[in-house]
Amino acid sequence: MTPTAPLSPAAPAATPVASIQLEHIRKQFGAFTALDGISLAIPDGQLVALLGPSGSGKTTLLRILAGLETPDGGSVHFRGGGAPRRVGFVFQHYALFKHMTVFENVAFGLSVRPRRERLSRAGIRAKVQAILDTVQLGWAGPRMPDQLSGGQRQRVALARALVIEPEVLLLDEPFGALDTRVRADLRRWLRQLHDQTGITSVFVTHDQEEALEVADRIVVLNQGRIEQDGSPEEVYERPASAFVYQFLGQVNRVRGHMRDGQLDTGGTSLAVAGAGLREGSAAAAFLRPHDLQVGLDPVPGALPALIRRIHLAGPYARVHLETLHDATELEAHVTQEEMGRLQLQAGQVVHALPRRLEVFPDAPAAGDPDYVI
Amino acid sequence: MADVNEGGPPGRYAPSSSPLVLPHGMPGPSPGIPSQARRPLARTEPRAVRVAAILLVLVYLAGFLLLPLAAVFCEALAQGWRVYLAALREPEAWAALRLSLTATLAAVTLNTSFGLAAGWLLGKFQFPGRRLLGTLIDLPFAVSPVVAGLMFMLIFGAQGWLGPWLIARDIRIAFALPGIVLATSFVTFPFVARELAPVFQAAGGEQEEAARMLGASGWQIFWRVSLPGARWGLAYGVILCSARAMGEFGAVSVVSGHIRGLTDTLPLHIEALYNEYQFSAAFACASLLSLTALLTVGLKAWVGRRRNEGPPQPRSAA
Repeated sequence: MTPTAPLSPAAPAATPVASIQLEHIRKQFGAFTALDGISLAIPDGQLVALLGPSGSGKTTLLRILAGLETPDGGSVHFRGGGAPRRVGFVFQHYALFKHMTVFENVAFGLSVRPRRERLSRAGIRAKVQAILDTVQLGWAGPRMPDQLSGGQRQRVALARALVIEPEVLLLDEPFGALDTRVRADLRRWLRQLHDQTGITSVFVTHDQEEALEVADRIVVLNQGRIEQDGSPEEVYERPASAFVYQFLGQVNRVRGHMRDGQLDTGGTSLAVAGAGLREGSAAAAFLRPHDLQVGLDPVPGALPALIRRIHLAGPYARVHLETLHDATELEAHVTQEEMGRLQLQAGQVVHALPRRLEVFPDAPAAGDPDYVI
Repeated sequence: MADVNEGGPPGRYAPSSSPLVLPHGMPGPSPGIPSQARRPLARTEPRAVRVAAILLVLVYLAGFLLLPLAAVFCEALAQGWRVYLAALREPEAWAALRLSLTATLAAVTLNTSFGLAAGWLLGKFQFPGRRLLGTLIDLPFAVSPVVAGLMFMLIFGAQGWLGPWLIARDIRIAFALPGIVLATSFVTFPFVARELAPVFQAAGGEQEEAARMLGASGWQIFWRVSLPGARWGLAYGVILCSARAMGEFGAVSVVSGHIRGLTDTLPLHIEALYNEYQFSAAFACASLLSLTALLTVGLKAWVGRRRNEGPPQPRSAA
């Protein structure tokens, strides 16, 4: 779990200034609704993640922020009105100018300015060198982009976007094309860079881990709508919908019906805290694998289940269970210590007690990610 | 991981990035890219088949390319260097060469401007009629050059639609340089556009979008990003276009009127000489034309290699 970082290093006045304000943004591509009425305020100096599965509209939203797409409805306000603004944009596949050296790539944004605003040749050289040093590529100026690794290219793309001193930095799946290790390094580095510069930044990702680790704030999108908007802690610990629960982290789903204020799963009744669901309606309980306690003896509220498989590798054992009454698959994370005490074996019948769960109406939504455990 | 490519040609398959990019444990370049050092398993034809195929290609090359080319030069020099040089020094030969070069230059200029615009449109935009434009551009490939020449005569000839009007104003198009340029341009119309459209398309729009986000104007984007990105494709198209323009016979034959020393291009001049049984002179001029062809083939190969290699930089990093 990433603790929520303080918003901006130089926290301004009492009310945070909204750098970008989106109101009821709609965008349609033929019959496909990419964005369905998005309203969002992005405060100054925050690093915001737009998180969602493919087709959720996150990239379209980013491109509208950049001005690369025009919304069909709604409005985008930047601080200080619609005045000419500088927006840095980093593309997933870098979009470096292949025929230019790294230096020329980074200098591009400075050299295309009208003569009156343009820096001197020496001024440009100094500025480009400084930004290349910042991204630890001071040596790479004379290289061509295709002589660099993916991670290096992405840093060039970032330097190119930063050199124009943007008010807002937008990143489209910035680490999507990189392998896991480089990715992890780069995102830590992006977080540091943001802490240093304090530029209001928005990045698009489909990787929940990335969003949780890097962002100050996560906006979860699904089918062109905002499912939840909050700190990493909030969206992880208190998901606002079944979708968010399933999209962020691993989750077990137990289906049933509301009866006497409890979730009747067919065999066991699960205690539900103030769900406010209609009596008799279909509902599903969501619980994280580490919130499922495996025990040998029957306890009220525990689901009797059969152990299918046990994976021991890693800091905890992953125990795959199947409930006895309706063969729902569950996964429980059991500490090595617990494992030693319980001596669990595949084929054994155990009792799985949810320590914490959340209940949502069980409408089999079309946007359900299909990797629910 | 860098040693996966050892033995392959330098440049082409040299790892373009450090090993960091490859997922750990992945075997070098993607399995789809054949490593030139080893023969792919899928190609295990019996030796006899390979030898037969190679022989067939060699026979074709010898019979249809090398032999005729050699014949041209042999025939040209059959009566010695003196006759050869005299034939080339002939004022009419010079005039023909000059006219061919002028017409080629004009046609290439016209078709490059058009080709840039059309290639840009076809490669970067979706618009109604895009497919039709693509088809229309290819039309000159399908129309016989003679028919193309006749079309221009129908429009600009003395009996053509605009002929009387033009003659009344003493504007000469048919049987003059403008007609020759028009005919040559028509025949070589598709080369640059056809070469550029896929290059522009392959580059996609991301680099342009990146340039726009950095504050470049449309003009700056085209001249500093799109065009340099397609420069080798452009060079390739221009070379093909020049080669074709230089050798154009059919369409020009119809519109030129065969006025010796005035409207005869080099190919027309060669035919005239040949018909007059001046074989040495005909083949001397033919050898000149063949030399320009060889030159363009050489240039084309060089540009083609540069284009595939990408940036013209020593690959010290790789």
